[in-house]
Amino acid sequence: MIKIKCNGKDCKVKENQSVMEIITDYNLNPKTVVVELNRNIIMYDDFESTLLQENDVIELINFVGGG
Amino acid sequence: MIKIEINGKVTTLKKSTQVKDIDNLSDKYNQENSIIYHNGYSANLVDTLEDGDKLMIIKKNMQPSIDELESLISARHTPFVYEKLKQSKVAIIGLGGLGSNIAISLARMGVGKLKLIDFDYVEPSNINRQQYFLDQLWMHKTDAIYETLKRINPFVNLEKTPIKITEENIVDVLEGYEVIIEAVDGAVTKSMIISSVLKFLKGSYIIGASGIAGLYDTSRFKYKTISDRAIIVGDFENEAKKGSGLMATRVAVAANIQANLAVKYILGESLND
Repeated sequence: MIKIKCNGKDCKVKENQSVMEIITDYNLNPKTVVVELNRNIIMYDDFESTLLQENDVIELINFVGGG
Repeated sequence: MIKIEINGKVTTLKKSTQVKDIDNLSDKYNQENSIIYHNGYSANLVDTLEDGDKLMIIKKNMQPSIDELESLISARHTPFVYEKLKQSKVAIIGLGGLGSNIAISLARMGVGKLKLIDFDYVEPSNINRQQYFLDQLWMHKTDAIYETLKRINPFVNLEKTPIKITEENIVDVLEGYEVIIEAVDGAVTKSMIISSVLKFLKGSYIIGASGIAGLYDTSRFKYKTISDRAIIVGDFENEAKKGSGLMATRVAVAANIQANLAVKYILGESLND
C-alpha cells in the first residue's frame, strides 16, 4: 500500500493504482470528473495510464448537469 | 483649476465649483428636469467638485447623443469600473439559463467584448428560465441573445459563434480570452471544458458551475478553486434530472455569481472578499 492525499484527506491505495481506478472507487463517473494530480490536470484519455505514487496529492472534482 | 468629467467629456473648472454651478443647475426648472449623479451616486447640488470627479447630467425625456449615451449608461457604476471592463474580453460557452443571464449582466456592466457560443436554438421549454422571448422561438440562441444585448448596450463588441464546443475545437475557439465562463448543461461537457482550459489555455481563467437545479436555498452555493485558474460555483450535488428541474430563480442566482466573479477577476479584486 502507498500513502496519498485525496480531496484533502490522507488515504491508502494499492501500489500502481490508476487514476481511473480511484475514480471508480469513489463511485464517480470518470467522464464527469476533473482530476488534478500534484497540481497538474490529467485528461480523461490518460486516466488509465496514470499511476499513483507515494505522497501524490489528488483532487477529484465531480460535475453534475444543469445550465 | 480642476479637471472633471461631465457626461464623459473632460472639462476644466475653477477650484471649489459646486454641482449647482454646472449647466445652470441652480435654476429650479433645470433641477427638476435633470437626473444628476456624482461619482456613481445621486448628486447633492451643494457638494464641491474635486479633481478627477465624474458628473452625469441626464436630461429627462430627452434622447441623449450617441457620444453621451455610453457614459450615461454607466452613471451608476462605481467609478473607473466601466473603463476597465471596456478593455476586457469574455467568452461565454452555453447560452441557456446560466449563459443568457451572464451575457445580459456583463453587457450591462460594459464588458468590451463578449464571445457568445452555443449551437442550439430557442425552444418553448427554455422560456421558464432563459432570457429569451416568445417572438424569438426557433432562432439560434446566438442570434437571439445578440439582438437583446444590442438593445441593452450597443457599445459592447459581440461575436456570435454558433457551434458546439468539442475537445478538438476548444483551443482554437477560446484562444486569447482572459476570462472564459462555462455555462453548458451537460456534466460531461462541463468537465471536458474545465480540464481542457486548465491544461491547454494557460493564459485563461475559467468560471464554471455545478449543482444549480431545484429550489434549494441559494446559501448552499459554494466555490471550489482548481489550480488557481478555475473557480466553480454551485452546490455540487443537485443535478437536473427526472423530478428535479431548472428554475429561473436559482439558475439566475448562480449565473450572476459567475458573472460577478468574472467582473471581480477582470478588476483584479480578491475573489473571496
